[in-house]
Amino acid sequence: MKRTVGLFLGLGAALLSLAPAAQGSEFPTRPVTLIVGYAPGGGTDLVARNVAEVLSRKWGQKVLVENRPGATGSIGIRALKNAAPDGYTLAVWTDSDVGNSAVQDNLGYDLVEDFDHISQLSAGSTILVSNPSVPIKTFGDYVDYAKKNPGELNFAVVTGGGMHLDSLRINAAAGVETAIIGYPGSGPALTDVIAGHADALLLPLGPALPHVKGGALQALAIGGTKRWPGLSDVQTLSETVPGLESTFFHGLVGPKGLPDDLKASINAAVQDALADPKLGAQFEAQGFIPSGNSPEEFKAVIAEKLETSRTAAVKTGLKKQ
Amino acid sequence: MPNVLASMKKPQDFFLGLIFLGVAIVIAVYSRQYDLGTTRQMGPGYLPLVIALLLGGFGILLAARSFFGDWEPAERLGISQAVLVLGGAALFGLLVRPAGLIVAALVLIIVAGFAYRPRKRLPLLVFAVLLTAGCVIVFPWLLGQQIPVLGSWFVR
Amino acid sequence: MDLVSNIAIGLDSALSWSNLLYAFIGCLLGTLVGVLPGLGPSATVAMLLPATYQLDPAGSLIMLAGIFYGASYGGSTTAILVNLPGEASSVVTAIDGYQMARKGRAGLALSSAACASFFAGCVATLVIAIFAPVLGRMALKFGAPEYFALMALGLIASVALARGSLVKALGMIVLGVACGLVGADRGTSALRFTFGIPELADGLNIIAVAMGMFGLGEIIFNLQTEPAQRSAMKTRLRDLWPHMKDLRAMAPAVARGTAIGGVLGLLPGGGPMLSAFSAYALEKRVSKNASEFGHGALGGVAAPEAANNAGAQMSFIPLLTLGIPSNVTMALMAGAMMMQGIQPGPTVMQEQPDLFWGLVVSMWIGNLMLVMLNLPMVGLWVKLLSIPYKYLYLAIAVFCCIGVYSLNNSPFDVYVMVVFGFVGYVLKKLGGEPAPFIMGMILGPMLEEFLRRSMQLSRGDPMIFLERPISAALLFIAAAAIIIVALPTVAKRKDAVLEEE
Repeated sequence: MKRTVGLFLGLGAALLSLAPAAQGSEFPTRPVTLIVGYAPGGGTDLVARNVAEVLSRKWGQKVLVENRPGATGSIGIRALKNAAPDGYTLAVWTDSDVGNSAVQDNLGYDLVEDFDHISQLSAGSTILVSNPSVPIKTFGDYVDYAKKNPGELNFAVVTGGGMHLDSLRINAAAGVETAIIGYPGSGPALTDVIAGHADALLLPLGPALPHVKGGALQALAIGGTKRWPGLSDVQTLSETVPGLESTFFHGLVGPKGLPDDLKASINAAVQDALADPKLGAQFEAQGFIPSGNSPEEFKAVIAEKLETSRTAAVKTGLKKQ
Repeated sequence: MPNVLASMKKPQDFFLGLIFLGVAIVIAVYSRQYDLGTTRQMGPGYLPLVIALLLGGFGILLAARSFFGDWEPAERLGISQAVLVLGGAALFGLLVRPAGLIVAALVLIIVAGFAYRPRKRLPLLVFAVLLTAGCVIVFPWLLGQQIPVLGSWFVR
Repeated sequence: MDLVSNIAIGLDSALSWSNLLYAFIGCLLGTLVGVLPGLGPSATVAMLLPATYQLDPAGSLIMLAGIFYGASYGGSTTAILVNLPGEASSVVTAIDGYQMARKGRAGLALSSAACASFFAGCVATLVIAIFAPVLGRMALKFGAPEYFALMALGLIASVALARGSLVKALGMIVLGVACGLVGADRGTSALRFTFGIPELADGLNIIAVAMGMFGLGEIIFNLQTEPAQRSAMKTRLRDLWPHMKDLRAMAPAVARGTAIGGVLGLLPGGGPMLSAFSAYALEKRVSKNASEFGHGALGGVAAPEAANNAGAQMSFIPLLTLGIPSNVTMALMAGAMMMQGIQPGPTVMQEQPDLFWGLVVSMWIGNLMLVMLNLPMVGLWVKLLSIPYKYLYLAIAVFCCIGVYSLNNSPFDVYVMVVFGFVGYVLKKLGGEPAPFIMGMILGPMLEEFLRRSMQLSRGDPMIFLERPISAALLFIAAAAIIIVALPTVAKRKDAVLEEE
């Protein structure tokens, strides 16, 4: 038995010596992990991988994306909360994380207070689309049609997803009532609207673009404040209902307690990465634009989005009191 | 009561029926907190209720049927192999993050190894070390899986 | 001739040396990783996805397709050899494949699976090349009521996966549906049966459950049998290749499997998942040697393997023509395309014909390479079984744990596997089989989802299922199937008549 214990110790020691030293002058001296609370291949995962690739080029250190999917992102967020604030574990967040926090109680974290926000990464617009067989061409038509035929239109939503709340919010702001048809993911919802089983859908611009261009979907309105360059004839929501908008973001966050200089250094690297032309092209193909800011600004963005979502969740009845 | 049990022909069917019925009762009781909803807007409690009724029905049918037909003896429920194999796997789950893959795999192989009798210790230990080394090379190194080789106990 | 010129475009882009190399590397990597227990096709594709980011768009998709085929076949390999289904669809392959392996016919099962897959792959590729756009539109005919009817039929057909009594099989299906309830309800996001455990919000991971019930459960069972019986698994090497009579016997099974997989694979709402086991259920009904099913029937391996591959192939159609990923693997492919700056959708075919047709041609090349790569490897895989069981089972256990851990990088899935290893073991001792349970667990949540959505669309009117011809027809078949299985005497008499003829 003694012999084997010795063998174990030897093996352990040999491997320990392989473990990289944690200290060094310049951040980072070992691989950095980006936690993504969603499955590989999704929008957030793609943003994280795009950013990770540029960052690892700039830092000369591997930046790994670690997918921790589950419970609308909250598994990944909890993992980030428990990580050491040394900059080697960061996470990419998106709108669904905020929406989920607004609807669910007892998630075990506070998006504003329990984390150190580093920088926004992207800004994206949503788009409201309908099946071409519905006799409407714009958001104005949609409002008129829905008012004339209350409860008739089948509005597809991804239950609990980032766009669920926005869909209800848009209907409430326009003062219309539709049937709400629930879907477990944006893929099936998109399929049913293209097939005509459901009538309307709010979704991120990127996945909708090829269908709008191919004529399978009618674009009713852009959710952002400005018209989208590739679809300049599509109005924004606010052109029909002033002040109404529906956007989404991705952003980089770390655990609470990141030293200020480290936070500043990562933020600078991110701003640098966002200016990368290749990254810009990849972002645009997916329907959003690189969009960085300072840690303080990003924190304010999260706080504001959370506040808006909470109000909307109560007002639309998505969150039961 | 013993008389009733003694007339049972298929103890396996009886216990399986009992399990079905038990699960059905748990579902029925536990899902009372869920909203049944309406036909138009089915609530989360709708399907559980249907499931509980079906499963309970099958359970009763199976248990009742076990008193008829030809005698079928029950198999012994050997427990030691199950405890060692599953216990080893559970220890792997417990250890893989704090202690890392090396420790977790070694513990799993050695614990589960004793489920096989007769077992000589030295070859098992040698095999454990070799297999663990192979796993470390294949999974985190070659395939780049995010599984800690050494866990948080060893690496700060 | 449009088709010829299109295929020429495809050959042109796929047949470059570098792309052939990518296809080969993809198949090889896919097979090697997929053969590790716990790493099914979607896990393998997810893992190797980043490796393809550096390639050009055509090369990366070709390599991913190769990885996908390789991993699917690798998953079937472990299902046959050690009763470890790496994904839901190889649960079916495990039923008869593993029984064949136990009877020393593992080589035959593996080589037949490869041949059946290759045949199905060839047919499906041809169908895609000719009919892709038309078929893509046809898939859209399936709305929630049709899917509900399909899932109902699927649940009833799951009975065919069991060897023993009907009531037990039905009970196991319903028990599976019950376990499928755990987690956030897809329609209302309400948490059900999570007992305050956050990891349960997404439900029980189906692969962790299958690994526990099949993989660990089988290990415990084998360890309890006497050592003498254990070594009976030795393989006769001369049985590696199918004889002429095997080929003739399995040909109709392969043809039926291909047809079923081809049709179901088109449906993005869970069709590919149903294809393997629908083929098995049908084969068990129509096969001349139905009594062999569950005890190592060749048709019970060939038909689902053909259906699985045809289905997997056809599931590219919704992705390529409509931009709709029909399962996790296709979602990963879509992700890979987006990473390359391509939005999958109807425009791909028009704007990048070299990419589209290159992919179609490389599907066929991938299938060919898979067969060329794997037939020689059959002997090697079978040799694995000659490793003494006292070591083999430990390796299986470790691979299961690592594979399940890496599903979500979470030890929780390992605990799920452990719990269901125990549950599966106890149930199996009492005569409750795991295969119908798994099907119930997969289909249950989908059934609920489509039922609820149908009701939302019809504003609560159940007539919607009968007013729509496809769903009415499917429900009629389901009702007929219930009557047939519920009247065992009728079925028995019919079988007896058939045997006399």
